[in-house]
Amino acid sequence: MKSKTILLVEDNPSDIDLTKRALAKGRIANELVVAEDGQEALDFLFGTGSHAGRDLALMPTVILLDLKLPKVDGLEVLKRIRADKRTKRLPVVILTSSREEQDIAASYDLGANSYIRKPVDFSQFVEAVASLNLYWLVLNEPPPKGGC
Amino acid sequence: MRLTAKLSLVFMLLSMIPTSVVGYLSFRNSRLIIEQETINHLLSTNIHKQAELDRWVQDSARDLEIFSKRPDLRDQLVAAMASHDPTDAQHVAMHRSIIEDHLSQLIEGGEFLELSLLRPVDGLVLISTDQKEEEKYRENQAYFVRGKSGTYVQNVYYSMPLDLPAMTVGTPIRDKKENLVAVLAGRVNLAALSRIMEHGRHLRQTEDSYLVNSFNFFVTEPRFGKDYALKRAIHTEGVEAALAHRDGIGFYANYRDVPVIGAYHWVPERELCLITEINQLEALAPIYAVQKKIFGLGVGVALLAALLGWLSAFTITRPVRRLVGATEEIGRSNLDYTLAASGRDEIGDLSRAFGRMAQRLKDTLVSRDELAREVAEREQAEEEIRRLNESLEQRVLERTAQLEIANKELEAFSYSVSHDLRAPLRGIDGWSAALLEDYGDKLDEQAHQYLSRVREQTQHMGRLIDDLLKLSRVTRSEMQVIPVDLEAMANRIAARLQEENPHRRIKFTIQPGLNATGDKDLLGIILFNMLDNSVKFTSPRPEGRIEFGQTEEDGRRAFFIRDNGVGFDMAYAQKLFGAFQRLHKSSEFPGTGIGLATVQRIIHRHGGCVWANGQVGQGATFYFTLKETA
Repeated sequence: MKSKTILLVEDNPSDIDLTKRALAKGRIANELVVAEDGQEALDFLFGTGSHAGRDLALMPTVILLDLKLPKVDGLEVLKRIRADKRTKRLPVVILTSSREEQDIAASYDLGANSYIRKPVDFSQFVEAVASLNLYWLVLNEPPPKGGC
Repeated sequence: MRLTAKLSLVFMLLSMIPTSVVGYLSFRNSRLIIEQETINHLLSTNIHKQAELDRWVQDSARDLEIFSKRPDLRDQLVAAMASHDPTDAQHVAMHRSIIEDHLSQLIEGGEFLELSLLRPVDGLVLISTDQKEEEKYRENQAYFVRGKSGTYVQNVYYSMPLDLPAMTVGTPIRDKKENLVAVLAGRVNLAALSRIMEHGRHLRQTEDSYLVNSFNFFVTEPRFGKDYALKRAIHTEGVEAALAHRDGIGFYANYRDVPVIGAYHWVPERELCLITEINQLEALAPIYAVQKKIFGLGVGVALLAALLGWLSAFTITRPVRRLVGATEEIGRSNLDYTLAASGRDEIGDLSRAFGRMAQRLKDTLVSRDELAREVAEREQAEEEIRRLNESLEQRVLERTAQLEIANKELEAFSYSVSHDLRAPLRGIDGWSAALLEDYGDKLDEQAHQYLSRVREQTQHMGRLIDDLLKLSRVTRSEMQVIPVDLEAMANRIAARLQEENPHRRIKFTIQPGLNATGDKDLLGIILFNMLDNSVKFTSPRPEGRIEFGQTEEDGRRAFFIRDNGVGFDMAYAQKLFGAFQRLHKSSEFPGTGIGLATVQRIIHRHGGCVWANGQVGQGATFYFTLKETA
């Protein structure tokens, strides 16, 4: 069985590395695919653009999605994921700096499975990343492959 | 119609009424008088003429009678009668002598036209002044039959033999022994009748008297007819009435069909109608003259009255016309026009009243103008206010739009702050932690301490950002005003604070039944911030005592939170509610200095106010009010 993949959609290199470090700290060794903007994330998910020809059978187990992204923003990416039958059941965790109510509400309305605010305190950040991966990668029973 | 014309007409009509009445009465009166006079005249004329007629007849009869009593005539006649032989020369001579000696004398008198002597036995005309009559028998003639016994006048009749109207008187001639010798018949000259009828009529132009017999024939010639006598019948009203043996007066058309006033009289002895007439036109001429005069007088009086009316109307209307002129002047807004003073009559009063009215009108107009000016000014001011209001509304709209834009920008700013300011902080903290973890063994104690400071400050900055965002959210969020149970809310917060500070001894006293209306979340933030502050500033005390209750301040309900904490210097009370304003050192009491600023904003949004009392070391009391909603 192929190891479970995590798709991190994040444009800040520092945050990418901190996330990687946090995953490592939390002893999560799953493959991490990073998309640095919304368009790249969509290309990866649907095998288009720079990811053309990718085996679409390999879908991430969980998507960590920032909201503030270049080109296509996080909420738009979420909307497209939920609109496509191949990806509509993928667990999407919003991982962002924003604590604005409107962002939280909009995310859940569009079908986000979880909303986590990135804390400034790194130890708390590590804790959060570790626990969310534990939940989504280990405890959670993933949805059946493909759509209905 | 002008007043002058009206008054003239009224005066004229008024004058005409008495004139007409008087004129009519006097006309009627004079007509009656004149008619009566005429009638009297006609009647007296008739009486007079009848008397004349009678006298003439009597005279004729008496003359003949006297003549018949001549002794020589009688004697000669007796002698002549003794022998009757026309062929006898003596006899003829005797006859001649009777005619010449006696009869002719009487004829010459003109009274009789013809004289005859008739034989009593058979009515034979023995001797006549008309030779054609001699030897004729007139035994049936009334003058003969009745003349045998006494003088008899046979009324006018148509004499067949003469073919003329005739009137004959018969009288007996007797001898000394009173034996009838002969009948003397005298045909009267009827010219006398005509003379009687004509007598006096020349005094009037149309007065006419004539006689008509019982067969409706004229007996005498009327004034305006020729050859009428016994040749023309007449059937006028007067004649018919007289023939019916009535006497009287009538207004009718005469034989010439001319309207006349006629007096008719039946003369029974003569069996004649005596008619005296006069043309109505002539008889009533004085009436017509009077009528003309009255009419002329009436017209004159009416004209005079009209003139008087016109004059008085002119006198009255002259000031009225002046008034009208003045009215027109004032109508043309010439209010300075003054009316010359008039007399002491009503018109004068009117003129003076008019003058006063004009003056008042002028005053009124002046004040009206002032009023109008004031109204205009006021309208202008109102217009200005309206304009200002409009521009104010416009400005409010613009400002609101600007505020909305500012709010949007603020939101965008807050969003950016929330996202972008925190990311680098997270980096600094994260990489500092990484440095400590990965290279901790290579760093000395000092370096460890420095990196810890970096992380500490970074996290403080994170909290500052979070509090700032909270503050801005408090300002921006939409309020839902509902009744809130403050007692329950305070109790929940107190429990949580107790839980978060397990090592502290804190005594919360919360007054039961505290209620308010407002936004539940925002009120929660107030209570939390203030109770949290009290918990914080009572930390040096062995036991923190915190009280939440309600009191009355200046007639308003005020909530208060009192603690036995470190208190503050009232000199800095103003600074308490400013953002980032702190009265204590961070090392003593940590905090961002945003809590009370947030509290103040929420209370202001609820239409209330917040203030504090305190003293260093003596604790502090915070009061706040909320807008009471019914």
